[in-house]
Amino acid sequence: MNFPAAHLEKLAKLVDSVYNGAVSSEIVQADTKIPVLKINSRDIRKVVELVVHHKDLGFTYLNTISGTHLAETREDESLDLKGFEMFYVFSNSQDFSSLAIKTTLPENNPEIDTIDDFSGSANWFEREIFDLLGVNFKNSQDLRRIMLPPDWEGHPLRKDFKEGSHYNGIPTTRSSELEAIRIE
Amino acid sequence: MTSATREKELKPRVEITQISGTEIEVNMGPHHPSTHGVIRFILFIDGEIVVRAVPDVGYLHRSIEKIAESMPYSFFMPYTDRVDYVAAINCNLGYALAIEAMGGLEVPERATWLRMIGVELNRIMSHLVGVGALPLDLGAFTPFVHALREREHMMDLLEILTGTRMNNNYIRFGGVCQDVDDEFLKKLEKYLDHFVLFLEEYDRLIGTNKIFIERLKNVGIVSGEKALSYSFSGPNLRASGIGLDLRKVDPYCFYNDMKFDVPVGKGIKGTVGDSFDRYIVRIEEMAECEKILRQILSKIKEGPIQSKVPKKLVLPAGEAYHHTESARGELGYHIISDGKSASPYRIKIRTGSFASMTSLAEIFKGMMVADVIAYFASLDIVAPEVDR
Repeated sequence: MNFPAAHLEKLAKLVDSVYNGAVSSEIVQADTKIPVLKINSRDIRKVVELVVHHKDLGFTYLNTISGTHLAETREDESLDLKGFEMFYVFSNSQDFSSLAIKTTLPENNPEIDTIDDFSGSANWFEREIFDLLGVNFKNSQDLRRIMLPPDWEGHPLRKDFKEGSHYNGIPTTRSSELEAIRIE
Repeated sequence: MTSATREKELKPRVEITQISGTEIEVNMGPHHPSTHGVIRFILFIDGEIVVRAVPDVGYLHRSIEKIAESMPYSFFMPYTDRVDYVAAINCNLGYALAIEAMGGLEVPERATWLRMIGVELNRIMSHLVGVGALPLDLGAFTPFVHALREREHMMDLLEILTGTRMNNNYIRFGGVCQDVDDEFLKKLEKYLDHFVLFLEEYDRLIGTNKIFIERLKNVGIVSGEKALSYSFSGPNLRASGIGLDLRKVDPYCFYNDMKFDVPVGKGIKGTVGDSFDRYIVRIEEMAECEKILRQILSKIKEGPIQSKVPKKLVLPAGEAYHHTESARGELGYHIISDGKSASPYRIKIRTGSFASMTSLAEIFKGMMVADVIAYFASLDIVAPEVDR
């Protein structure tokens, strides 16, 4: 079941009334079935607190956290880096209607407050984003790489990621001699 | 059962205060028979009690999400098979539905029925592996062989339906890759007659076995509240007493028209949300899948199986989060399109196994080492789905 779009406006008003305009929020009617609430990244904890704990909302179930590196390839094939986009999906534990919270982070030193005290699973979702995108979660209880080895360099899901030629002395590309044998 | 004996049963078998205080660090995995793939735990144990546990994943990380960014949308379909190879068609479906929602693509009626046949068959196969591997991890080899024998029959059916036994790559945008004849539908119906008998027999063999029950009841109890906090989904969440099934609450395909129940854990042998509940919910769910399959067989009609889809698919700029009920719970695809390129800008895959893994560190605390295996096996985690 999806969160009705009419409720989203109420939610935006609710955010406004609870925080007296201290929290900026904006409704985005994305073409997803899920409505999206766009907020400023510094307000993430306040808004999450509201959607999780408010008696009329109760979005206690964290479906996932997703992150994207925003970059555009210019005509000269260099990249125009534009920062990061965070996408949190929450669901109501009663009827499972969903709601997304979206926020953007700057390209240099992307940082956002952790929400790992709101949900038992948030830490792992955050660790995955830290590992693959290099977003830093402030005050996280345990921020380590999760998919890649601890000595890995770089964050592969960044659009400007370049794989090193060697990892721990092992070449990451096929040697051309081997390739030649294979083709024959 | 009187409340006094019940309380006694709920107590840990060894008091945590009795332990010596010397901690030993034990490495378990990544190649461990019970981890079903490569998952590693670092257990800090005191005698037989786990004091602290650090799960270590990522050994199967193939960066599927990064691979997706370098190819056209349709080329990514075979990769979704590899997200969860035990329930590959489920992963195909989630991806196809997300892309179809974004691109506004039509799906013919028969194609949807065929998709549902594939998905439900695959769900039964996946649960068979789950309930088969569980006793295997506890030391009973025979049930696994019985479960795999049945799965083998279903693979034969899937081979007729999709052309392959595993990693089916069956679903296309706007349809499925091939049609089936009536003979297949008859074969499937005949097989379902056999399957109900097998399921009843299997549950009688394993589910009433004293040793099996004792190993699972009151082990690894996850309350409903905890399960929601750990983002459990699918059978694991339902075993904790929360009857959420995306086929019911956010219906896709023709699940709206299907009559089926959502089994939930009732704590029939111990407490709600214990490992035995996770076993019995899967058994009951297979029976529901069988019901759904029979309804599909009575409703499926002749017709086209593929709608017109542009060869070079460019989706309008925007994003979608689309979730379906896979065999291991909520399978969500978060897809972003930049509106210009024929390949996705970003695909994030949310899987049930990854969410279930988040509970381990806390639930393992205070458990006996043997119970660690029982709890982990009851979650039915598939390692490639965790790492992607």
